[in-house]
Amino acid sequence: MFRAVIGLEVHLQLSTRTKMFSRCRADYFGEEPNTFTDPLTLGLPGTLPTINREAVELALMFGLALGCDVEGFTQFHRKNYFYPDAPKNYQISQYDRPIARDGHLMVGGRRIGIRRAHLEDDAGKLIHPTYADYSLLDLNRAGMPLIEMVTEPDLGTPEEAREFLHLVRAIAQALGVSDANPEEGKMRCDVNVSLHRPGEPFGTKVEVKNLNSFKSVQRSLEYEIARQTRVLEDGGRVTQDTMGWDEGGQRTFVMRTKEEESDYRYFPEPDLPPLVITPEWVERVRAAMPELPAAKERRLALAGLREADAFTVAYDVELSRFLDEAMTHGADAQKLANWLLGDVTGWLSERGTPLERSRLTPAHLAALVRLVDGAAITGKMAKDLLPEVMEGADPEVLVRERGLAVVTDTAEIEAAVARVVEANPAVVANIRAGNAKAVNALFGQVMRELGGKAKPELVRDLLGARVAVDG
Amino acid sequence: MFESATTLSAAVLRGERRPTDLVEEALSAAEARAHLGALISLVPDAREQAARVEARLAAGETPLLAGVPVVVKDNLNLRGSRTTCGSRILSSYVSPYTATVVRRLQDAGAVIVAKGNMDEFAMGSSNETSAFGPARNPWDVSRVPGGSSGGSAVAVAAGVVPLSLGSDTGGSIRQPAAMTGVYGFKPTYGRVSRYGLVAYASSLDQVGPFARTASDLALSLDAIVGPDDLDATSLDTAPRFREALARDVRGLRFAFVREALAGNTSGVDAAMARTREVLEGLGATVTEVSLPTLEYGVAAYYLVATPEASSNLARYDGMVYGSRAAGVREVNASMSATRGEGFGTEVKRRVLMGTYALSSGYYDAYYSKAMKVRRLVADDLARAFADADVLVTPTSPFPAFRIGERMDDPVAMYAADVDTVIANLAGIPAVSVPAGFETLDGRELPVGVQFLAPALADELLVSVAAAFEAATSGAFLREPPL
Amino acid sequence: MIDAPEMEHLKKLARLSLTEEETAHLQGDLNRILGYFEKISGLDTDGVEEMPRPVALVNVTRSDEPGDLLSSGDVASVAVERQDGFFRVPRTVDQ
Repeated sequence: MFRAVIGLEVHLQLSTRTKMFSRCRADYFGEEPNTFTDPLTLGLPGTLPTINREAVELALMFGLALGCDVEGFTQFHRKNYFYPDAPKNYQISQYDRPIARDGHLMVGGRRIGIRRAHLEDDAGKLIHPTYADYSLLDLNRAGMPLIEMVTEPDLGTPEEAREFLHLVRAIAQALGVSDANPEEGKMRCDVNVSLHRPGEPFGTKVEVKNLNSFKSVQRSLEYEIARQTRVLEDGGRVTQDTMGWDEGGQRTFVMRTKEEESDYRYFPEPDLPPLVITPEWVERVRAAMPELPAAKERRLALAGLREADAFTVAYDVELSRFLDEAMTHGADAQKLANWLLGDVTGWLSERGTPLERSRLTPAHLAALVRLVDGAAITGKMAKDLLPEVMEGADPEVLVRERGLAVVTDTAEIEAAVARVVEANPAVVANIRAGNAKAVNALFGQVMRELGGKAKPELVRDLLGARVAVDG
Repeated sequence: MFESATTLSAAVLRGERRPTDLVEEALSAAEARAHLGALISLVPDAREQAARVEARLAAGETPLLAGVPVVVKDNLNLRGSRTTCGSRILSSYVSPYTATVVRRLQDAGAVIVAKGNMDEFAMGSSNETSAFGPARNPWDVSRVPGGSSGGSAVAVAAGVVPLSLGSDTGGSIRQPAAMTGVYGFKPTYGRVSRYGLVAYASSLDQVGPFARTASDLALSLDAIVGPDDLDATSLDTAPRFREALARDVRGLRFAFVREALAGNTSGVDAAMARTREVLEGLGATVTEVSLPTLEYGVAAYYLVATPEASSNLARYDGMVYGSRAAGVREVNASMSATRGEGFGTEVKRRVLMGTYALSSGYYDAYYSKAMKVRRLVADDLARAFADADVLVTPTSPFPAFRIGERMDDPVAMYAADVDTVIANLAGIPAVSVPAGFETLDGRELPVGVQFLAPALADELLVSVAAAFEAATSGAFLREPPL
Repeated sequence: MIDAPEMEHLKKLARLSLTEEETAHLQGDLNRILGYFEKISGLDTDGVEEMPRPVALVNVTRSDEPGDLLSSGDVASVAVERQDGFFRVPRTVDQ
């Protein structure tokens, strides 16, 4: 009956060495408060901003990846508001001429419009100790470069919103634009949601801010849709509030009502000349752009990966890096993917270790795959070796040192078969009499004779042939 | 100390004078002239700076301003010195960094001895809004020296130091220069770095020198002009001011701005007439030109400057640095109390005006409109420069007024800027040159004439100043009767 | 023109605490000044482009090379109030 209309506002912290408008180092995460500051970060009197060219190029790349217009005039504006986490009491942002405009992203076959993406500087962090009459301010994060991306209200469900975020993160990571991990605050999300009956105008939209995981984005949307549905069904009106998300209580709560909306008094930043993005500049950025997930997906499918696996790997920057590297060692792509997405992932998640911090190397996984493919070892043997290979062992070395190589010499197998058949005339007679299953006991004996290191199929074939012949 | 910086630095380089002695002389002169209120604080390490210059000289260096003691306006940051901007809100603030322009002076061997008094946050035309008391005109201590760089002007006019730096947003170097009888130079916007200058109105502010001779103007500008990576609005130009001193003005076209010739005192009119004769005597051509937008300049200036200022001054909230109101528990109340207590009336007036002009519903009528009028003023000047190399106006319609005379009427105070604001709006260079005296109440008061040139023609203005000085034998560059 | 509610709004926007007397006085000043500035509202600026900056520079950017950080001594020297390395500020509610 009601249709949800969802828009997202995503902030990505860029992977630069310095802050957006000063040469203050950007690697502050986890460090002591107020140790990564410079005069501009503190908003000291007399300081001036300067534009970080790397941040501009990352924004251009990101805009291009989202199919945005990026050419032409773009400039910074001051967004004026008083709050201790903004030491100048204004943010340098972009207003009517953002660096990227009118893009889109395909999510599950649906086209989600990207209205704009712009550059701005981040605020510091305030903490509010419980029961204290003061707050504490850390300006290490103040001044960090951010891309703010705003979608059109084209998303329809909480799941779709979550999927959209996954795609954005994958793109940002693939391009090296941002680590985009919500846990480190490098990807933050606000949502807008309203309900309407199809055919009728959009309803009043509610904003939910400060969502710091994809899960809370989805949950808060689910909650709000349910809440607004109840309000409307009861004949009430939805008020245009700004809500926060209570993670513990799993509910939204009102932070601000419309009346308290700020007048930001935007005006062009006088300290920064505008940017004119020329076609040549755009071409240089495009030429230097790393492979996007969508392109990677197509390439992996062509290399033989199943559709679902190509998608999963393409949109995970660590998996795709690993797989690409492993493929250069001549191992089959799908088989590598099977290992990666199966036993390797299993082993990693049991230990809570991410792929990039494990000791498994692409070369070693490729070797493992090649050993099985070339019948040097069986699949079961490979699985048995996996724990050691995960800890950094070279499977080729292991196989060599332990003499694990499967017996492929038919003569050796035939000799073993012959010995076992000779030693078990009663069983052989039983088989020939029609009890086919009795061959299993012989099979087991032959395998034991060979120390288990023989291709089962081969043993069965030779055993079967021998039993038949001797008949 | 009335010797020029040119003379002093040459003597130092010849080994005849020592930087440490010059510093002592400047400090003694500062004390002797303390009643003029020119200075807010003395720089704690002045003697150490002088010692470092001596060490450099001993090592064979020959810096341009070797050993010259200077004063910089108290809105210029110098590491380790108080930088108050004439305001209670920064009365105990000590800079942890140095402004590029101040560092360049020090690199040139100058010694920063003191911070100059100023109107609070550079908002004013009389140096009366300083939280640390007014500065006084050495020619008549009951009168203002002009503002907002009043202290820097007085320090040079009264012979405390030969050179000082001020800042000019709507005339704040030129007007006090005219009122105290010294040179005051506002460079083309962008030729001198603003990094470390506490911002008042970002698209209008420029740093410039006060001096008593044209050669000192050249020396100081050669030391400070040039691009700065830390200021994105700075221009990549190299200074050539000492070369410009020798160029004569024969054949140059001067145009007197008609609209600026009315409404002045008799002393100002006389100075303008005399200037015309001098220029003609130098072989220049003198005509008149009309600048119809002149009368709109002040309004456009205030409606561009106050919005930028309201934003630039938002940072003074007592949260991280500066003073904070005592005992206020909630953050917004605290910020409001801090600013209510820490800012003076003129600052409050301009912050409120600027906030209003930017606020929702008023932006188009005020700030946007003012930025368009700014374009009209710039175009008008460009048109005038099509047929003239230099424009001429009085620097101020009247000489120094009495302390307290205009404080109750902001509109009257603002009107004093009518001749100067257009240079800031258009970003063009301008210089005030001592050009005469007017006697009021039995006291001689200096009168200045302003020369304006197109953007980047700063060196031309130094040529004009030098030529004028030579032609008049420096008759208007006198020591005040102290 | 600026009326009393507008003054209160401006004071809040600008975070300026003023006495009643100051408020009334400044309100009068602002209105008088605005009256004086009315003259530019009469000027025809149709089709005139705004001039936010006096010089027509474009594309001034810098490299991503780090510079110097402020030392903790410098940060301490300017700080109004500190606690465990943080700046201590009056109680703030999350926005």
